[in-house]
Amino acid sequence: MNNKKNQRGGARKGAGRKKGSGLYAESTKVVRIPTSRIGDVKSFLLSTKKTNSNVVNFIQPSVQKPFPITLFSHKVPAGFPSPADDHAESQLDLNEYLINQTESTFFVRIKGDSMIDAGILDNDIVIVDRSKSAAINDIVLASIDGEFTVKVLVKNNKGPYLMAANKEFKPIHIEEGSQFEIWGVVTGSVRKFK
Amino acid sequence: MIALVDVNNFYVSCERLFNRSLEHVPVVVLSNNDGCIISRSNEAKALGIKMGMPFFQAQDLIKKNHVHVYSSNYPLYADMSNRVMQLLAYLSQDQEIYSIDESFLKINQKNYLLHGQHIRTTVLKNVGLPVCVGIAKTKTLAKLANYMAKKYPMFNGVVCFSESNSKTLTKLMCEISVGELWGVGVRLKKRLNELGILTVHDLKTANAKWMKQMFSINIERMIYELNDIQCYPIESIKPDQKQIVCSRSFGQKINRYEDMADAVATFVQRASIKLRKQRLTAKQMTLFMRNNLFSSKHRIQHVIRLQHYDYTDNHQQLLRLAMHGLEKIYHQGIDYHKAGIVLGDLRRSVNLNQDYSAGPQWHHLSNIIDAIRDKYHANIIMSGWQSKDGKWHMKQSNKSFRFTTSWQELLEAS
Repeated sequence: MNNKKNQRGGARKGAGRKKGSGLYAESTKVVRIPTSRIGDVKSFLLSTKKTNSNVVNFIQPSVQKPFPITLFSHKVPAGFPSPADDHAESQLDLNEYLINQTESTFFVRIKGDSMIDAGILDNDIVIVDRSKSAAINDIVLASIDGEFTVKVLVKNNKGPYLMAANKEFKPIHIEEGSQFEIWGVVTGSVRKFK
Repeated sequence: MIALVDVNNFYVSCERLFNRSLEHVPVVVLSNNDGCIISRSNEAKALGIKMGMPFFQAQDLIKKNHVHVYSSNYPLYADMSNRVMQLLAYLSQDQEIYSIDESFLKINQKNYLLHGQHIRTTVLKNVGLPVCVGIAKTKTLAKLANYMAKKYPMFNGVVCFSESNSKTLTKLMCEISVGELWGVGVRLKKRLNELGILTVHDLKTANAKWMKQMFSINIERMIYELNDIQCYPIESIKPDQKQIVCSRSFGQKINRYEDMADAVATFVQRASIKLRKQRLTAKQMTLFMRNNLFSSKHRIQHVIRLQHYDYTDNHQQLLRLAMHGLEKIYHQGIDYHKAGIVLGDLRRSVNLNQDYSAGPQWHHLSNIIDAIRDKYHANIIMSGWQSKDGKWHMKQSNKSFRFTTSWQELLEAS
């Protein structure tokens, strides 16, 4: 009877979780910490965790001296505060000046002299806004039979056509059956001298 | 109500916007290394060119029909995607960007069909890309509505489950295969078909509780969503990424250590830039390389998991880790075809300044290098392992210009 009892129930050798098989690779203990600091303690434990996973390699850092860093990026002067602080404005931004809607604005490089009388020279970059609707006398980026061109949109009693801003160029009439579309409206141009 | 807006044949539509002669002709765009067809114009679809088809298999069809072929131009596509998403944000109350060419929107207009058309015309005019809009009470139905809007021209690009003709919609749901639904893959479709669930309507009318026991909670949710009960809300704030992957198949086989080091160093650079852009830090890196599965007798794959001593977003530290791993697993005499790295164990990098051992000067250096590369071009600063025109670089024989992201490659007009 007694023998049987010894064989059943009770602690078995080798049962349960192995020591050091947990998250922290050692035995753990319950402690009280303020609720507001739980996150801090958890992240501290994670960042200093010893691992026993099957990591193949562990790269050691090269020995580096501690590097001093300034905690505040701006020094706080003890004297009189700058009277200009209250009147500070952000610097001027050319994007803001030239672009109305970023998602519909494209830059296009001009090739040739056809628009010189409008102040657009060879190699200038023009700003094209697709969101604008073209009106008569606007400078537009158009595509005719797959070719892109920048011209002035004009109109006579037969309908709209394109004019260069250069007397040596002939007007471009849109022939029936040709593919023609206004891709966007030219709203400005930029040129660098240096 | 939830709207799903999706750009039609996105990559092809981007190419067409900057090359107007591609309009109304068959066009395809190829994947990295010009391997497979990943975007097709409607004309190319009509010729029987399939999605994901290897380029060499379609070559006869392409030659015979004068199909225009483009290598993928991701800088252009990414910029055009940003423009579409930015515009859609203006046109909605809330937005969840779902993929490069799809976005869920929360809209509360009185006339949904009209607002859908407004979205369509505004995106086409302002950004220049054609979209379709599907509107419904749930994401699953919005996806389905978008599919219908794309597939059936009679809807004129917009389908709304509460306003479009309900008889027509029910009729279509009885026709559309269950495999077209959001979240139904090839295997699930097969299992559903075995149960006699062939169409969307079959699944909609199935017993949700019973299906949950047969499959999973996801099926139950799908059935609820098909019946106008919302299970998946719009997630405008994206959860942090769990891992960052950068991998490539090579343009030609790599069997020299220097070439592989060049490729791995470039992967590290790209992945670490992604890491810093999202203000994340990583502690774990997996490096893998393998031979060509199709043309070799034996599949060879070498993998190593590397652990850094602390969370880092520093390029130099990650590069050192990767090079250490490369030394361990690189084998002479193997023709490598693909390699990549995966950054894992990611964390927000808020407390980075407290990490004295990593050295704040290193952290600054990575950011400065990023800024210089942003200002000039991607190859202006490279690690010593990298080369400008390494053997491993992609085969991209017919790539269009980066019209919107490079001053040197702007669109030209006379």
